[in-house]
Amino acid sequence: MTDTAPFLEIIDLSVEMKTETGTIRVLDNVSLQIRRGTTLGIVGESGCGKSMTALAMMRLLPPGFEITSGQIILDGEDITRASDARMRALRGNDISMIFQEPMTSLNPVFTVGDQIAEAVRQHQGLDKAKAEQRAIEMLKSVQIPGAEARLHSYPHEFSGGMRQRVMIAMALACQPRLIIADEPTTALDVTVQAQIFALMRELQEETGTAIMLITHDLGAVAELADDVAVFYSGWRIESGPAASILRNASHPYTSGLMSCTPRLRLGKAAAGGAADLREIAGMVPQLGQMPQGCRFAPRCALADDHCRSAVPPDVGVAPAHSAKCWKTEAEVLA
Amino acid sequence: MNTQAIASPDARADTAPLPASKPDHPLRETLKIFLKNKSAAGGLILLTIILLGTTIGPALYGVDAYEMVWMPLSPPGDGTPLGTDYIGRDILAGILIGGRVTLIVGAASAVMTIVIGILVGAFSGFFGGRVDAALMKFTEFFQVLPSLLLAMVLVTIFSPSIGTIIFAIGIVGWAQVARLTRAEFLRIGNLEYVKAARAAGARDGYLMFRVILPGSLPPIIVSSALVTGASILFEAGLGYLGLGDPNTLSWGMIIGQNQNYLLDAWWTVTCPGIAIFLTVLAISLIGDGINDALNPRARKRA
Amino acid sequence: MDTFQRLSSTFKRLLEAFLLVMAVVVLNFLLIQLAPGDPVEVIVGEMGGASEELMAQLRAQYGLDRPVIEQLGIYVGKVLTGDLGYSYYFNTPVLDLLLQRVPATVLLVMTALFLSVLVGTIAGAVSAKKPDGIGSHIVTIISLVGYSAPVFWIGMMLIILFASMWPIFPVAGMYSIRRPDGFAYYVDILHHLALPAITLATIYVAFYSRLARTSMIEVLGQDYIRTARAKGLSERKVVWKHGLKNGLIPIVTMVGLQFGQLFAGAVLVETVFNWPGLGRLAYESILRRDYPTLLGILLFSAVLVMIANALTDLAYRWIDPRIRKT
Repeated sequence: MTDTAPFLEIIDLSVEMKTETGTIRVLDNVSLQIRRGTTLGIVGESGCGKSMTALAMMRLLPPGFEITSGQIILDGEDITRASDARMRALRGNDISMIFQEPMTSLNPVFTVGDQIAEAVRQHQGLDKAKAEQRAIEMLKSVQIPGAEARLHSYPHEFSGGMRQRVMIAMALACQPRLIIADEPTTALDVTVQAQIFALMRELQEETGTAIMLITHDLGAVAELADDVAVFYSGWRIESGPAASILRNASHPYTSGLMSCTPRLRLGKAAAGGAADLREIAGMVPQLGQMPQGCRFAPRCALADDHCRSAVPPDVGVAPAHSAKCWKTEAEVLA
Repeated sequence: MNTQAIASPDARADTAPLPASKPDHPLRETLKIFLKNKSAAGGLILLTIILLGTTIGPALYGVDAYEMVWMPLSPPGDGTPLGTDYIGRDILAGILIGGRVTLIVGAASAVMTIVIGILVGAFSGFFGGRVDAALMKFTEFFQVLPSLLLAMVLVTIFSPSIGTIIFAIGIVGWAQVARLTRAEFLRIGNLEYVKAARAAGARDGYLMFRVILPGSLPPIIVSSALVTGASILFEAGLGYLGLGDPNTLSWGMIIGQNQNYLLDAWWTVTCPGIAIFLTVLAISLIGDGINDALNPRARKRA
Repeated sequence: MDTFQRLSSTFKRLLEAFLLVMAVVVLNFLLIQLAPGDPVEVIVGEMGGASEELMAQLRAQYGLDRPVIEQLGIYVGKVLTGDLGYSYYFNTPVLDLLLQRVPATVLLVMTALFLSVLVGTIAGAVSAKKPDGIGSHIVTIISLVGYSAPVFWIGMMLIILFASMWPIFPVAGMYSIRRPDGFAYYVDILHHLALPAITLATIYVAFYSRLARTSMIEVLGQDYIRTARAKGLSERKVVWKHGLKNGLIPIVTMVGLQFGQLFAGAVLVETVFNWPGLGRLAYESILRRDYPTLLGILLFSAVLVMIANALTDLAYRWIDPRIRKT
């Protein structure tokens, strides 16, 4: 199913938030690509704009937030210009989303069967019995034991991991072309995390759907992603094939992140990477109080006056692999 | 996570101006916010006018509210400013003098309601366990019973006078205040400074009324505005049903006595009703203003 | 096991309700005891005009020479066997009198409740969609007026407007003087019901619209609402299906707690509109100092409130599945 042509392409997307004191740019000229049937991992700390990107793609930005420029092209269609009705037809049908909090993302007063069947009835116009049948199939496919009986259970009767399986079943019910999974395992136990990831990979192989996996866990990316994009305070600071990035992280922030991830540090150290940072000193800049030049400069060990005064360009470091850093080029040349 | 992302910039925008102004005494700060609130200030002005009207109004107007002064049921402007009632008494004079009973009864029974509510809620929340269970059952009993009906029975059996009316209204309406106080006591009772005072050997009474109560006052103050409004409406209802003190006029009583003439003489019931409405409205506005002043962040959401 | 638990919790609820009603019975007894003057005068009623013989007979019947506890036993026994005393003014056993008046009150109260919850919820939900919009301010203003105006006065103003100036509704009562037959009979009752029900609903529309607004604003910010939107549901379904069923939970809770107050409001409204229910009867028995009837109404209202609470409980279980299992 893998195909090289990008099936989703985000070009120079900016999102701004209006406040009483002015507008704050929470996403600044971000570009991304996802190829058919592959997984793109988006990595970054909370508040870096990962979730805003996802909500912008769903056109479900919270009140006060607005797409101010750029395009989101899904199979040739720019959905930043789509009508509300068109967006409703896309949501849940072509693009669906799995949210971070399985405990609160399911409606407590409807049965899980109703909630899964609802999406199918909405988009495929199935009748009640057929939709219910489909819901049972979906519950089976996410490996919920006793699917027929569980259909009539309410969310509070499920554990967190089971609820996230229900969310996945709901997201997959209409066989979407793209699934956005926003930190799907953050709220879950480690063992359950592994199960959920295994399930997602399995389902992707079966259905050929593309996945955008948002996470702050590079380990998860290493396991699942074909490509990676790293975000830092509203910027996409590095992107490229997962293998290339994991082997050769070119932005100091990315290498810093990797040294914070125990599972990856060995490999990185063996590859002879940048200094072993263990943790990245300092704090993410507050939105609205951005430094003038590179946003990472205040925390960067390599930063000089040039970094602090001028916004760095995207620099190609390997095929399809680029980093937004003044220092990268030098490193590659060396 | 996303909700947090949205909430935090908002919160910053909310709190940012506060530290900028010079640090004030919290009470003065509260008063400032209260007075800036247009509707609250309006309520305060309205209430002041009503209080002045009922205290010095009758003397200024100089018409005896209890005597027949004009033709019965004559309309406003036809000899008297607000018309006369079914036995020729001046409606305006009645409203000016009748406000006294309404306001006194309203205020006194509100105080009684709040005191009972605080006591029951404080004991319930402080001691917990069986005391709490028993007191809450007791509270539920008063919450479930139709309070007006109980007050009617009490006033009827003990014959209407200002004292029995205050007692009857005070005894039936405290359930909400008790629940609120209990909830506050449960919350504050677990805070560090209370634990510290307890560990230092403070007595129960001291803990309850000197340590915990002051912290739980803000919501109680807000609800006391509601209670006062409700007590005034209550008094009006009893007066309307003929259960007012027979020796003095009250707003509800004027309406009740004239209700049979309502189709021929709308002013007899309309004007005293407006007086009740404006009084309770003024108190509600003040209550809303206090609420906003005590927790400015709730204002955005409310 | 499950059914056993459910049965025992139902039983517990019933027992609690029964105890609450018994508490009202004891309260009634205490009121009779505490009242100034001879308890028999209270039992008979000041205006009853009972003869000395009858008074003596009642004294013996209620055992007024015996200890108070024993008197309480006699009183409770009488109430439990349906003997609520005799109304000398109406010349009927109190129980019969009350049963005659219950349907009118239930009709009025339930209609008002239905109207206020319906209108209040819709208004609240609509204004919750735009918390800073005009609709929201209108809800705030209406609820301020509803909180501040005496309900009996609102009734009178409605009479002046809609029964006198623009006479589209009857002034008072429950039936026309010449009662029509068949279907027209019910239409006639509805015609009479309109103004009193709207009056009684007004204060609670204010209350429920405010409550619904707060509740819906909170619910519409929840994660599952975003999930519903992400499914591609229309805004209508998101708000009125996924939002409303959750938003109703606090409203149903309040309906149960407010029912007693709704009943109290009915006393005033029935008096204004001469509606032949328990409330109007309460007013009449105050005028006549007919204590047995008045105390009977207090007891009956407690029973009605208990029944209403049980119904609310059922509604609550239907709406919130999380409660069902506990």
